Amino acid sequence: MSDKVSLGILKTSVPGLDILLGGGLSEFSFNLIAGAPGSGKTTLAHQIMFSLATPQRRALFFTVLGEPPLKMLRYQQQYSFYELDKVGSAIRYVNLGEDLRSGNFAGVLERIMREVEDFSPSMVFVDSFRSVVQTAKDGNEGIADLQHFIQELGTRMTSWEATTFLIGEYMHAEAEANPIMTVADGLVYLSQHEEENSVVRKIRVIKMRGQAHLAGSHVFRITHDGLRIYPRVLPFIPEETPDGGFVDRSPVRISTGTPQLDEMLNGGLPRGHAMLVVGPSGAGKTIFGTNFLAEGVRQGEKSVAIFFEKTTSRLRNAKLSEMVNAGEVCIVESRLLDLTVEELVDDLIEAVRRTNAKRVLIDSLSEFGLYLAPEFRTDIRGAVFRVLATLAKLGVSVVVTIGLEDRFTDLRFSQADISFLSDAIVAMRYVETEGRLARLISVVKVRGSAHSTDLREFVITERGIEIGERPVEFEGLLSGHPSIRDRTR
Amino acid sequence: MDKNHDKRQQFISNMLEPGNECAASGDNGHIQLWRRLAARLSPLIGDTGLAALHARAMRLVQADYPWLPAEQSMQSMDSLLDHLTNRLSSVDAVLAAEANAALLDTFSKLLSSLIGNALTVRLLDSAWSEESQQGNAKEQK
Repeated sequence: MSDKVSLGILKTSVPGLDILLGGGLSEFSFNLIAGAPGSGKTTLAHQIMFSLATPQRRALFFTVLGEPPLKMLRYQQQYSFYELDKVGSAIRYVNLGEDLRSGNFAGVLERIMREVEDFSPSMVFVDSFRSVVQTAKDGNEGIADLQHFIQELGTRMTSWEATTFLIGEYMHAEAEANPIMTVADGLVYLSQHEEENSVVRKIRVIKMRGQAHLAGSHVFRITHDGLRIYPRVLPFIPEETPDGGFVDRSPVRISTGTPQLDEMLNGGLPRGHAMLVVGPSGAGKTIFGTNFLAEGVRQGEKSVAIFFEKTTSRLRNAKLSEMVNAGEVCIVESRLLDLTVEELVDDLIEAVRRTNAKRVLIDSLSEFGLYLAPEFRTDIRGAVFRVLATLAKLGVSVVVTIGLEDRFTDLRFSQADISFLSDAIVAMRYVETEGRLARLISVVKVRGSAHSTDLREFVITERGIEIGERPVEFEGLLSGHPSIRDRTR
Repeated sequence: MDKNHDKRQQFISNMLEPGNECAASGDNGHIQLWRRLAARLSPLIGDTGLAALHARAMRLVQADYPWLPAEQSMQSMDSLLDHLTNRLSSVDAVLAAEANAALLDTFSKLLSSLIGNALTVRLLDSAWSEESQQGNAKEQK
């Protein structure tokens, strides 16, 4: 048995934060929450404090010369995590403004210690610590005083077994936050990135001693419930094994809702596969997708649908409306035009888990980029990978539609090589035959399975998509110069 | 009306009722209430915030009680309370009690418009209840 010291971990309950921290906050650690004004530092500190504070594990919140305490109390109360019952019994606010005015660090430290001894907190917050630092006198002596103050504070708080949070306005935490950076066990940095009028908030755990934290920047949003962080990781599936595990050689097939296509797929879509349905505008992709969901309803399976096409196309889809109203299909929708992939993935996971859905429809990926914040638009492939990989881990069967202009001599299945990310591809296209515009369908790919290679004509009827029984009678359709097949050859 | 709003007024009425320890002790009692309130609020919102709120409340009630001191919000809370004590002791006890009640009501109303009724009531309660006088020195870790 190891006799190494084991670090007590405090789960912050801030959605997503514990994943970044490597499980939670290390007890008695000395942390800096840094960021520019408006980046969400005080809100994060309050969210952590209200989540963890109890009458047995009390928190002391020192306000300094930053946000006036009256205003902080006024605004922080607006968040759902602000439990008034905790103020007084579990949380005490103390204003240090007057003590700091003298610029005497020893006096400030003495006041902090007096309050700590009086209230016996397990957590101590100092907001904003930058204003403490700014009172340091210029010159080496001032800096030495400050260093001594921080070290002294860190040591005393740890000896008092208090987990400490210094909240500071630093635009570039790594460069500016010295000497706190050296003393601090943890450093969390919040920032806002603006591009083409869209702002994406990001959080980064720069340092967290003793814990395998998640590096890199991760996006977050501030809502009525406070911060919600979206770690860039695929969802954890408890039954997952790192080894090869069991491979199902004859997976269950599910009906797509278009019987003739099921036949072309050799008995339906293998369960858990993501199928890309590619076709030009008006080819019938949404109708196909709606039938896929309707088939789920017939099989007693719940579904989740996400539409990136303009809302009217969804609202005029009566068949879909009925399924949504009956609670069979859950719609994930965004009115925001600065979505991040992580938010979308998070919403999808939540909807799939809440409804225990077995099918997901994404209609259509071509408009996906229009909803994303600019910095994510450049990497649509990466975005689609994260969405599809997440859904694959959840074990749901997916139909993803994608609209592509018909270029008659050019057989393309997607933009940005998205098609390589899917398990199956069904292509739709228009051809001119005998003076009319006909629709053709073919199965291009089904991973790990044989499938039809026919080019078949299909029509859209009230029943949905009806595919011909046999391949079309023409050759050279894809070249743009079709001719009637010569059966004598 | 918001039940917390009623509760706030109820607290003030109770504290000023004849028979209450503070009301019974006359002018000192009036100031005692303010001192306890100041002791609770000053660490929370700072001496400056407290003095600013008090001076604003004083200005508002002056329309009805012009003999109250014309305060400067830049003064310290201690000096504000000293002025108030002098003025209250210079008038009839009934009038002094009435003016002090109006001042407390206005002050707490201002506070509640900023931080909400619920938190204001909680702070009044902790400032004036006996338990708050006993401190919170016990370590419960």
